[in-house]
Amino acid sequence: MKTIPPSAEVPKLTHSNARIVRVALVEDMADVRESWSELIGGIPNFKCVCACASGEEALRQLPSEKVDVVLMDIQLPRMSGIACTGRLKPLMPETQILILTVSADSETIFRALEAGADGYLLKRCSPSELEAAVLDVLKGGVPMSGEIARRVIASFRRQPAKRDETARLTPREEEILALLAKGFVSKEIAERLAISYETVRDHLRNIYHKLHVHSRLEAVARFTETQQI
Amino acid sequence: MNWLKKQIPPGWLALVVIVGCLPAAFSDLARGQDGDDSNARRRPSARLSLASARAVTVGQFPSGAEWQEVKFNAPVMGRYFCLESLSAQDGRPYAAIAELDLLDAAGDAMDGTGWKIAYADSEESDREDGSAENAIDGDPATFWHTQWGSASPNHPHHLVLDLGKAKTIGGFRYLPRPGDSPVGGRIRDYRIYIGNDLVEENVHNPVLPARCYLFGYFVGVGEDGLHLAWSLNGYRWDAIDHGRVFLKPEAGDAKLMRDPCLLRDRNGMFHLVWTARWTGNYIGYAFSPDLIHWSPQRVIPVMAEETNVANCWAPEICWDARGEQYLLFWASTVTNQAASARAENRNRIYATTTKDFKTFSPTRLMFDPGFGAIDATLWQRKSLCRLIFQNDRTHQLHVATGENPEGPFGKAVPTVAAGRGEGPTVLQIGEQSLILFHLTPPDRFGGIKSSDWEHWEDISPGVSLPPGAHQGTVLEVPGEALRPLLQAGRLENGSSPEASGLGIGDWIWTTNVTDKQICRLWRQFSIPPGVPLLHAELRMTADNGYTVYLDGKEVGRGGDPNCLTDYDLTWLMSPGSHVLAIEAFNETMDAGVIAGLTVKLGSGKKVEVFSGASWRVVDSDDRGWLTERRERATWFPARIVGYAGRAWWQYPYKIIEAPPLLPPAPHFWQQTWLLAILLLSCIVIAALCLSLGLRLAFQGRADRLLKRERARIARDIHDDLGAGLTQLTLLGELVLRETPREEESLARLNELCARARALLGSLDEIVWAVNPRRDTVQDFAAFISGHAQEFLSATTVRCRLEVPEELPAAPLDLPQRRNLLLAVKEAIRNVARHSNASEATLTIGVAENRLRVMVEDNGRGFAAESVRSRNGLANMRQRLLEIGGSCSVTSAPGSGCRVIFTLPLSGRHCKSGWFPRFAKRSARVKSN
Repeated sequence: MKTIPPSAEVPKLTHSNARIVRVALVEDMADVRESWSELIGGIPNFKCVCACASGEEALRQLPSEKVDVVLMDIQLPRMSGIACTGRLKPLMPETQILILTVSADSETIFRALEAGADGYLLKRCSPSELEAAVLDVLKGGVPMSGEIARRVIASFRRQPAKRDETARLTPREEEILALLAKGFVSKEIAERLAISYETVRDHLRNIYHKLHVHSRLEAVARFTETQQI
Repeated sequence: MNWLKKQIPPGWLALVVIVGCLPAAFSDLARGQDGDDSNARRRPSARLSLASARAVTVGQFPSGAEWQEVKFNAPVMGRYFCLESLSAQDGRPYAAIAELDLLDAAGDAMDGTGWKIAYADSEESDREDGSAENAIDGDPATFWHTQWGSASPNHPHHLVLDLGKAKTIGGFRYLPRPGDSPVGGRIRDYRIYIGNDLVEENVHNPVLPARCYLFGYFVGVGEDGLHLAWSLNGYRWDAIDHGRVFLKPEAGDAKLMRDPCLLRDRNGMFHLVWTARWTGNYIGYAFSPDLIHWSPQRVIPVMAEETNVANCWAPEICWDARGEQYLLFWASTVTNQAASARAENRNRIYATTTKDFKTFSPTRLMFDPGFGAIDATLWQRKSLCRLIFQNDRTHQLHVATGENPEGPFGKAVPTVAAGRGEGPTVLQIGEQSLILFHLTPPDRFGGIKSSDWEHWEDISPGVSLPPGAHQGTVLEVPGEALRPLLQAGRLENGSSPEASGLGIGDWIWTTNVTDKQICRLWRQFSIPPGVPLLHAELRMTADNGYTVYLDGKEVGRGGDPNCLTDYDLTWLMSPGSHVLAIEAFNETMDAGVIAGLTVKLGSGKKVEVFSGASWRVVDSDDRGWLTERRERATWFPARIVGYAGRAWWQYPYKIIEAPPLLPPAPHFWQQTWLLAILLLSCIVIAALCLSLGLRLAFQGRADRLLKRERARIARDIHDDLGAGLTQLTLLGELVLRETPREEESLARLNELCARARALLGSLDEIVWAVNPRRDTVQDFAAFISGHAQEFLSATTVRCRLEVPEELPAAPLDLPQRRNLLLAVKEAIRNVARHSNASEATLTIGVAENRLRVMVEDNGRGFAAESVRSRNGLANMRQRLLEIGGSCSVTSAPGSGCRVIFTLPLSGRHCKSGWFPRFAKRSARVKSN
């Protein structure tokens, strides 16, 4: 049997692409913020264009900057990173928002995705992982673990009556989610359903989009988003 | 009067809650400003007239804290009852009353429903809640106290009750304020007046102060609208109408209202401009004659003629007397500016002028300090103008001076280090210029003041704004401008309608709010004897968690701030003095406790204890405070951090009913056979107690300590170690980058970073295991499946998960979680190491109150007899044994391996009927 190592999904790093990736950072701790922005600035073709200390500052500064990717800390004072994401995303829909989190707590990550985040990164990731994740999300990659997939399914099952057509999952999308929940990775799903990897990715993007549409307001309304320890 | 002391125990009084009276804020209104000699009378709507009245009786109270009863020679008719205090027991200028009750002709206490305080000459409101209403609220713990903080007016003091209509009064009872003597305010000499015209009600023509300050602000992110507060001294601000929204944002498509700026023109019309959108080229505008009725809102496209405008923020209006016009200015970022060579575009201050808010002069750049400037506000004195604004990156406040409101302005000069915040607004009090601004974090207001605009003084500790207030602008108005608010009843105090409808008070907390904070709140109250007790119910919640005690006994705990929980305390309540104690915990950001205890008594009376400033914050954590009947000297009043029905939610998502505590016991003791059994059981129990008592006592204490320590350790690990390690890793990466490639230390540095990262991973796991918030089967499944996927992704083994969509929320305690986690991890590691499998499946399920976790692989397997020799398998068995579970391993060479962990669940959180349903569901998931 042919096995596909899941790590093959991480795209190869190419520096030939001359386009500068403009990254913004939202992090409240000053020393961490400075280290991050220095690290980001050191990655070839990356530029840290803005480092904000709070969600409000981000809402003020970022829409007027040209930003490709926002790295958003979750535990921010007053307006949490999740609430900020929920408000920032409609202002700059083209910009990809990656949530930075200390722990891989699926509850927190799922709420961030609901609010409009395009992915997440553990704070303990290495610069090369950071680079890979940012390039991946810019190329349209969509991270989704089995646990997150299970939560997405549960979220869509909870109130099916309220939802209109545009925010309902298609049978194919449900099939993909079910496979993800069983631990399959995108490449395996593509093989199993006899579709291309890109098609799986497009489906996943659609699922994300639908998730945002139906739960953004709901997620933002909660004021206790950051219930990490 | 010795007989009286025996006959009337404290707390005897009929307990009535009085509604509707003018706010504590009014005390500021009437107190007068510096240099103003207006009297300290608090009720501007009433005037006392005792000139023509004749005293009903004159007397002297004995010293002491007991109830005093006075009967008149003959009953007197009248609508108003006035107690005049002529001197105090300790000779000092204060008067106080804990309770005042009137007697009818027969000598019985009158029903006080509908009574009001018509007049009080002085009330302390800064240092404590000394409102006159406390004298008739039925609560002996709260009292009326004349002013002692910023002023100390001397006797005589007057407190006048309005009974609504003329009634026959035969006497009265007076309860001195509580406390160990010597305590100030106990009245000695007194006079009583009763009449129908002791007070001139002046509701439609109240005395308003000559000048006061109005502050228009927004809360939260700015989605709900305009809020108002007022102040006389510029330091202490009170929300008008409980922080209600006065104007909802409707202009524009974003429905946003931030940074409101109010201006009152020469005709008394209020003009309001605000930030109406995060991005865009317009601002919002509306006007109102009275702050209640508003014109339709519209947008002013102030930057329509410019292209590439990112935003129009923090607009302000001021009157330019020289040009006979309004000056309107705001901050905008224009991305095609001449300075566009720079990568970053910054805000500059732009302005336009208008005479009628219909036609505007062309927009022009008003001020450019050479760096990002935002939130500008203008101060004018004769021919001197000062523009105060913040640097949009550093938040440092700067001042630029000029001669004309429209500019030009000189060089921007930073104020002081303390002058760092958002949305500055300026007010002039005498010679002093005050600048107030919003600090983020910690989400409160600060201030600086100066008399020469060069030397600044930090006044932040003395500045107090309504909960949640955000930047806006202050304007000085004549008191008359507030008359419409007064007449519309907007200035009335008392618990907000939402709060009183729900039977709860307001959100209270200690003076500061920090993450991971414990707040202990204490309140003493009394139930009068001789009246049947019908029902007692406590309704409460806290952000984020609480444990509530009645007389030292735990009666409930909870943690969802969006839901209220009702505790039926009927069977725990008895006449006499009680203590309600709440230990609350704030995890992060906003914090508060909201509660209301309602005790219904026979004859339609009730005792209500609502969360508010009468609660005390306890500073110690020895257990004694839970049962302490008397307030200790180091405790201080709780602070209201949000109004019920306004803060955080308008109406709770859910009201949960907790089952009644201690159900009623029938009179079983009257039956002799039961007595015999009881006696026998008592002997057995006593013997058991003797042997177990000591052990239990120590264990209970150890358990409590352990729990607290666990939470503390988890927090410390997360906050200190976690944050520190993250920073360490980042620094390591930075050093790594600067190290030349050929350097030998490169490999070691690499390893250093990798190890720090691995440590962070382990920390995450430890915090998860210790965190009492993630203690359910569901959380366990989420965590372990995430771990399996992540761990196996680095190997050639594919990971398959079989986890039902929903798992019960049954709890797993710390040893269970830890041991099961380590055992399952071991099994997964074994698969990766030994099995040579291509696929591993992790199955989690609950059936028949047992948690079952299975790790299965399709690898090469092993012979059963070799199992015992494997250390890892023995380890897993031992771990499961420790937590009362079991572990079975089945394998044969060539047919893979299957490890099953089974753990009985305690099930205390599971309803009956749950399991059949669940079993069906998990069966369905499997068949998919």
